Amino acid sequence: MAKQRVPKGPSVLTANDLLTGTIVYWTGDDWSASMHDALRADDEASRAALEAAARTEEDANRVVGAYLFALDPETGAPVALRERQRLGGPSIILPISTPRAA
Amino acid sequence: MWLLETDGSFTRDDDIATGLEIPGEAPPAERPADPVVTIRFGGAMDGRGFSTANRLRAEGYDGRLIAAGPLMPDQARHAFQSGFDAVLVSDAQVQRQGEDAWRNAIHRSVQELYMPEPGSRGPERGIWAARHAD
Amino acid sequence: MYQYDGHDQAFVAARAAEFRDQVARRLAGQLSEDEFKPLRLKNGLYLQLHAYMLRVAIPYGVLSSGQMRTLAHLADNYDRGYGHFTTRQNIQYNWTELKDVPDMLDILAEAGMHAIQTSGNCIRNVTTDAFAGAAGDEEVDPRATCELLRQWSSLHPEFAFLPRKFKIAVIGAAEDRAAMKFHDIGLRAKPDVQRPRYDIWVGGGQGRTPRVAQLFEADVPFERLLPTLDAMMRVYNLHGRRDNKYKARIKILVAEMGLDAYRDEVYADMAERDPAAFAVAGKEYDRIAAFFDRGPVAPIDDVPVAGEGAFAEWLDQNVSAHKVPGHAVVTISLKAKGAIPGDATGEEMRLVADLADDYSAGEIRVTHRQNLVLPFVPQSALATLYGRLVEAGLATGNVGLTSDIISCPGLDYCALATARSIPIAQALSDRLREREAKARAAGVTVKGPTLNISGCINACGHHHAANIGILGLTKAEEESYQITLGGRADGGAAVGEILGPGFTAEEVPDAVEKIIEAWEANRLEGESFTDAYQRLGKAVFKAAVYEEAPRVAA
Ligand code: SF4
Repeated sequence: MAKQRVPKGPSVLTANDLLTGTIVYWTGDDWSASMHDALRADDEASRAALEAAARTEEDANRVVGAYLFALDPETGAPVALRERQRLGGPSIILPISTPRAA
Repeated sequence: MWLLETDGSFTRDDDIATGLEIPGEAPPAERPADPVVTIRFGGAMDGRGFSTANRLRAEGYDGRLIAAGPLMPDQARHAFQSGFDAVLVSDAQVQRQGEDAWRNAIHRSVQELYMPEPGSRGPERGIWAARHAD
Repeated sequence: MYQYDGHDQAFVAARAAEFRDQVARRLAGQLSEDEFKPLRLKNGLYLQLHAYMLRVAIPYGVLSSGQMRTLAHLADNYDRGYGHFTTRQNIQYNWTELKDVPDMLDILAEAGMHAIQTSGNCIRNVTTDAFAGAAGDEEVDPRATCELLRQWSSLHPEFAFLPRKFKIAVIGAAEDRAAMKFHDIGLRAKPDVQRPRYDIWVGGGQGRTPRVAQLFEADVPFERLLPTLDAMMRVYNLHGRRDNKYKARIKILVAEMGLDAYRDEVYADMAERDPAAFAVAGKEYDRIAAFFDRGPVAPIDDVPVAGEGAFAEWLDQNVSAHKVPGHAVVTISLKAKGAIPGDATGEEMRLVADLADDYSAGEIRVTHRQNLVLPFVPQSALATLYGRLVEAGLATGNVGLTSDIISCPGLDYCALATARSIPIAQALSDRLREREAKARAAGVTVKGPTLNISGCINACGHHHAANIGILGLTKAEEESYQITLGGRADGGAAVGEILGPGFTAEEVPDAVEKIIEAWEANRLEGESFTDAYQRLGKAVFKAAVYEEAPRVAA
């Protein structure tokens, strides 16, 4: 994946778990599958700390493709369409649970 | 520096004769007269060095061809099967990628292809040839 | 169909073992992610938005019933109970874990299957006509050539780190059912004395710069096929651009060099080489072709089959003429009303495997339009087969209709996506199925434009090649859909033209409906969508779509 630029405003660190591929968010000392647990960086220095954590965690082969993404300062929701989709999971009903229409 | 040979031997040597060095990007206009030619790959994803080696073999170069650059152990068979005689590996690469991985590069990759490329240094004979050996 | 021998079996087993070792070295940190990524991609393993996705090869779209059961087993045990059949005639699993993939590959290898080169910058799975060996208009069975190319290109030492991916398609009939001219190399096999000869096309493709392939050389005898492909690949490998991934496909090389200059380079490379190295390919072709020549069914008496209602629609749309008398080719639509195009559950896969055993000599095909095919069905079994499909909810009679939509996974799964495509496909399917039912009830022939959807410019959903194409984009962090008209994937291959400003997801069904209405209102008797579009021009459709306020959805 193309390396994304460090966002300017409030942001959190995300990645995929190396072993399982699951989406994870950085809590400050570990990874969580829930964005609620994510450590939010509101200033330059804390964003730099998240960047550093991204590299360390990648080098430790725990996660892949770690990067920061921006949050809406008001709502705290991800700004980018892609991150909103990533957060919500597939927006469709997965086929296993839907009997087909004729 | 370390050298992996087509027979799988992998040894460290401070004094390796690398002969004429050329970039993998393009085959030279003239067939080299040097007994040893080292083709340097620009990156692990840059497969031009394989075609450059193959082209040199097709043009009749039969000296020693060495592959150099940031290759992975997994690419050793690609090198040999494209006409290289050896792969040159830096100490740093061996340290990170594992001596074991390089030593076993041949056994752990798929060796027997369907059709060897002309100029291949093996280790294969080719499944098609085996199927149709009369 | 082709049967693995010990060599093929050992080959895929060795590749599975190799990948297991690569995963172990990745986890141990001996391979960095930058190094591992191309290695995993060459084995079909992507990291998508939510999980790892494994794309399994279905070489040229041909499967045995046993192999289909293996795919069902993987869906049920290593995924969430379903898989997605792709426009490259492969299947992908959306919810795999890296640690499980080596086991999945072992299971596949036992079934004579693999994930080799389903991704990455290498020669990809070769595709063909899903009706190969069964189509009434076939001149040469393309599958023998496909299998030969599969073997030749698998783990090719020299062409595994190309500037970009490389797609080859082979057809052997007058009608192109494989979008051959939208491939990096397209081959049209023609009958010759002993083995086929080929028209070789080069430089087609979709993506950001869609191009229809140009004729590289006509009537190439079999003996020169592999030597020519070998040299074509080499010139591409050496000269294809590596500075910009959007300019790295062979279509750009051919455009920048010019076809003549490219051809000269290829012939110059060939001139240095002794084609005798490829001589063994002839015997291998004959060995492979023998598997396909022994057609699994013998001629029987033709049985007239007729029906009413939905069965009649299904007979009209999903059943095609067979080259063996007394038989038919049946397409199973994976495009039920509101369904996700190309998705099938493990249960459905098992059912199709059973149907193949009962009615189709144990053989199944996957089409590039994301449907399944039972290629050898006796006409006398059509009614029973239909009844069983109805029970399973797989009897939708819409093959070739507009609701037979191609859709890529889009932003619901894909890491590269710029918008969702599946919900658009579902909404359109609901709307179009209703239109089609009404038209049918009124006794109107409904064969309408093709409709394809991609979730980004990479065009895996072949939107450029559709009569009506939809491309999902991100505009100011919201989804926006661009419509193109006039594309074609058949023999008269053409790239669609952008209609105008984009639409929101909610507006798309109305816009598409207006386009179809404009065609219906303006077409001459029997005129196809693309012919009408050529004759009428874009303006008529533009006016129909943009010149009145969008209707409020009911
Ligand atoms: S077209 Fe784009 S969104 Fe769709 S599958 Fe391909 S890369 Fe993903």
